[in-house]
Amino acid sequence: MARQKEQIDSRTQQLPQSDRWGSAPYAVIVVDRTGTVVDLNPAATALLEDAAQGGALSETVPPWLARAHQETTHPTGRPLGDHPLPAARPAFRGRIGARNFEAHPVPHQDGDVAWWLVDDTGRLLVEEELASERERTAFLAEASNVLLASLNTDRCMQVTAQLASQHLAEAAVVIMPAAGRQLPMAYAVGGGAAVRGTVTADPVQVPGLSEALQGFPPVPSRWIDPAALPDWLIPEGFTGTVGSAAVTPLPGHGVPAGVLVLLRSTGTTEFNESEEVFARLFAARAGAALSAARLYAEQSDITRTLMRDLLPPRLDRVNGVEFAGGYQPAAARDRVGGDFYDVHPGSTPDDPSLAVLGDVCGKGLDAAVLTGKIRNTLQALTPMAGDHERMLRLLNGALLNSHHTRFATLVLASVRRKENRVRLRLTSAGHPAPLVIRNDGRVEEIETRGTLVGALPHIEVRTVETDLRPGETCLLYTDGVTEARGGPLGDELYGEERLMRALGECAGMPGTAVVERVQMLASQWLHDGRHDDMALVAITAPLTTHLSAVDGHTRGRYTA
Amino acid sequence: MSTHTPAAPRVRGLQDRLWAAVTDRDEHAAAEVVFTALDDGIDAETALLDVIAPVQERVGTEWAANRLSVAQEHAASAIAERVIAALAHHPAGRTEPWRGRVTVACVDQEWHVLPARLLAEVLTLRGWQVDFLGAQVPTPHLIGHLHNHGADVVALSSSIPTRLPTAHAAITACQAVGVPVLAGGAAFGSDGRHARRLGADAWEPDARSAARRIADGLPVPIPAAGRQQIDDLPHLGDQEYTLVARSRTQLVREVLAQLESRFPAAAAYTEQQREHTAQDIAHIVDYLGVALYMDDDELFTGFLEWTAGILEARRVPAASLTPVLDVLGTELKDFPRSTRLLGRAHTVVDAFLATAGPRPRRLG
Amino acid sequence: MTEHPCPPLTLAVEAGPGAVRLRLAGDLDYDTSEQFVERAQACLAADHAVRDLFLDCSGLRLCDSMGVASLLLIHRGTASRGAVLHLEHPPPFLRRILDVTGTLHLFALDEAGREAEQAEDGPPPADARYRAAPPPAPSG
Repeated sequence: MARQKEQIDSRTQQLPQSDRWGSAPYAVIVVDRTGTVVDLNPAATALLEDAAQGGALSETVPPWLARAHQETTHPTGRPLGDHPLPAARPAFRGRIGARNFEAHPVPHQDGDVAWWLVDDTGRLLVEEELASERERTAFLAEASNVLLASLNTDRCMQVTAQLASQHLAEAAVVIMPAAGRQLPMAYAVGGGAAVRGTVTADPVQVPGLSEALQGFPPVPSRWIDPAALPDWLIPEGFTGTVGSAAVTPLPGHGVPAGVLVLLRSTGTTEFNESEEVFARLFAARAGAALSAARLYAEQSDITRTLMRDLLPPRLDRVNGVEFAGGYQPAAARDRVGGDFYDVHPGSTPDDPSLAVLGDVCGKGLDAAVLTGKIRNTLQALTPMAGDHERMLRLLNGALLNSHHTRFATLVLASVRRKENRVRLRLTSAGHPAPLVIRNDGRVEEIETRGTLVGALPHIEVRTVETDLRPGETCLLYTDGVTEARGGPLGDELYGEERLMRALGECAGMPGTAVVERVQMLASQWLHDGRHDDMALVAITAPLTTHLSAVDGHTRGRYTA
Repeated sequence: MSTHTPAAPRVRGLQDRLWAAVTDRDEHAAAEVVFTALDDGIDAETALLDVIAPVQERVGTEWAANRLSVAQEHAASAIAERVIAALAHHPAGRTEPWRGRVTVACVDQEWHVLPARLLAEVLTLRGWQVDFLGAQVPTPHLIGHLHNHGADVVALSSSIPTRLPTAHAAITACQAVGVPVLAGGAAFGSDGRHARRLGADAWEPDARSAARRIADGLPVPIPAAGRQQIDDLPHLGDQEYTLVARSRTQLVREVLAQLESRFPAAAAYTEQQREHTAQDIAHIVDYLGVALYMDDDELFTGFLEWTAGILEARRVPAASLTPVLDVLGTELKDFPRSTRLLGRAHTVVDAFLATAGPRPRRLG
Repeated sequence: MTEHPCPPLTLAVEAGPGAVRLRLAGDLDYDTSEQFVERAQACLAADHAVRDLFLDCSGLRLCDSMGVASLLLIHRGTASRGAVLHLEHPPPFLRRILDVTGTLHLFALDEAGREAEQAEDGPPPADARYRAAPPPAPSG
């Protein structure tokens, strides 16, 4: 304002004018009904180089303003005559020179119109900027939403490429730091679905790429020669030639998560500074999402590797005996817990296999680590499986610890097929007794008992033998099943009696079906309640007399 | 699984032989039926969908009609499972994946795994890389899997309508991580209306159409900030579902106590009979709950009609359902939607009893 | 969400000449066993003349495997100094889990407990077998 005022002052001195409008803060030009300039103030003189009193308006101002005067004085082509004029009229807009103006007509009683010309270039620019800023903010918010939704690296790369190609450029390529010799990448064109791929290439081929992959500041796009870009960087479906490119690092949590390359074809505008700044804002969000996804992937890789040995094994038929297992960890989030089972096959069909099922006190990963120790020790002790008591004493000794009394309870079952029957030698070390489902629907509790292992210097156990006829099943289970709390009336233990009654209905079922049925009943009993780990192993004498996996084409293939 | 493909006489013959084998609990014979058919040139998808699936469907129907025992039903399913597993290793069933990646899972607490299993095998045969997560997959496991391995689609199976709220949570969670969900299974309704209600991206009635739909491609859902279950089901705002679900145990106890005071026969029940009755009441309360959740009367009335049929098949008079509805009606008289549902259910049971003929009003 | 209407396990101590009695009420499990062991060990450490540690279990609602481990750890403490660990009024579930794990003999049981033990420890019932009744209603 101050500068304008100064200008006005200086003009006032140079050119003598009517001082009627001299002090007005805007350019004012008064025009009569015929379109002749009647008066103008210094600001108007400064603005409109050729303007002078008595001149024709059409020769003085841009056509839009001349038209505006025509419309104002002769609306719908009819002279205004004596009709009273409305007090306010809508403003007209247009450019004068390099700037934008609003022209406000103020009609006078004598039919002249005073045009107030208000420079609104600044306001328009601000409005435009605001609109585009709003759009960008909305886009960034949406991008954050979409990007943070997934912890999958592939998906984050694809989403980044897709969004960037929709909002920032015609095509976008996301490149991750090399895995070995290969650069993982994703590209998208025009907001379409992104494609994942890898390329064996040296990032040095792209100006600024290897620097960006190491997290160095981006190279301004005007320094990148589009012609020098290697073919592998130009996505399929990108028509035309690349006119400009921008390489922006995707900053992760302290480490570079990758690079975003934006491409525009010739004939479209090049990247300007504000766009590059905006691309960096987007890249910051994409980089954070990408790096979170990578951290998650790395962590879960490590967990998976460490847990692989702690997960319960898949059980199948071994030496003519069917084994089936089932495991449900206490918490829905866990995959491992304090229950465990294993089957160590006998080295020949005539050697007994050793099945183990047990429960370590405690829960979650802590307990799982102890189960790992027990399972390894037992595996090393399998040559001694002929003497369960001795095996358990050695295990007890290996587990004893002066600091705590974290113990384990377990059942050992030595299992051997003899003709069509299965011989079982069962020993419980402080564990609920195994149950045998007879073909006539009776359920027997096997009366082996003994001391838990890992807490007391001395243990006692009693081994019991029994036979399974074809179709009969011996079930080993942990107390997570019988201690399941719930039922239709709430807060009741599932208990051994219910378990035995349920097993009475399972006579003749395959072992897998028995395991599934018990798991299903326990989970129905719980409804949505909390439970402890639950593990089950069914040892079943097969109904058919076929000895599997040894003869011929069909059976071998089927039982494999 | 639908069996609308015209069953050629050859396929019908295979179905009959497989039926005989599974009801005889002869796993070996069952495998022979399927493998011989494959060797004779039947393709693996036909074996799965036109031989194994219909037989499995028949197992369910026969169990409901009390012509198969629980043990036979489970044994038949276990045998079918093993045959399907073996089929995956057969040369006819071996395919290199050349399409995208699909995760197939049952919702938490869903034990009926076979429909999902069949879909997983069909997708594998059609060239997809399939991650089959199996029965009762807790939603955190499913989402963890999607983060780790990604997927173009999740195919989510549920056969028990009472798991619909859990299915809803799973659908919302998958979409929140940007993976579309195709829902399938009896729980979502014969016309898929429950799947639509829960915002699933697609629903298909059988494995073949599901495989086609997945091949057509499902758009990636845009994870909108803060979308929650109640956005799909605004009626949940009245809290009736929450209150009924939370007071499940008290409702069952109250109904049981009232029955025992009204009917001397009920008071003389053995512990086991009492528990079975309590379980039946709990089922009714669960279905009332899910009907409130979905705001769908048919879910509740349909269940009662089905239960009445099952009870009759097991020679338990369906009239025993009436007093249960009466007591629940008294207990929930302040809840308008529950009152409406119980009233409709009453009408349906009365109609059933009228057609089934007069029976002594006694409890099973 | 996490607040309990009452604490999961409450412990009350009565110290007498040469003997300490701890009254347990509530759940002895994964979440509470550490607190229980610390309290019992503190009682033993406070008075070297203690020859008998009584655990009054009448108020116990639940004991899981971590609870058993804590009893074994306390037993280790009493045994090493020649003191006796008594269980008073053990509820059936506690006797059961100690019986199954083969650790019941480590503890001195009060009179009521011993009677019950004799009643239960008779010859195993000849018919520990169950026959299923046909299902009267759908439950699977």
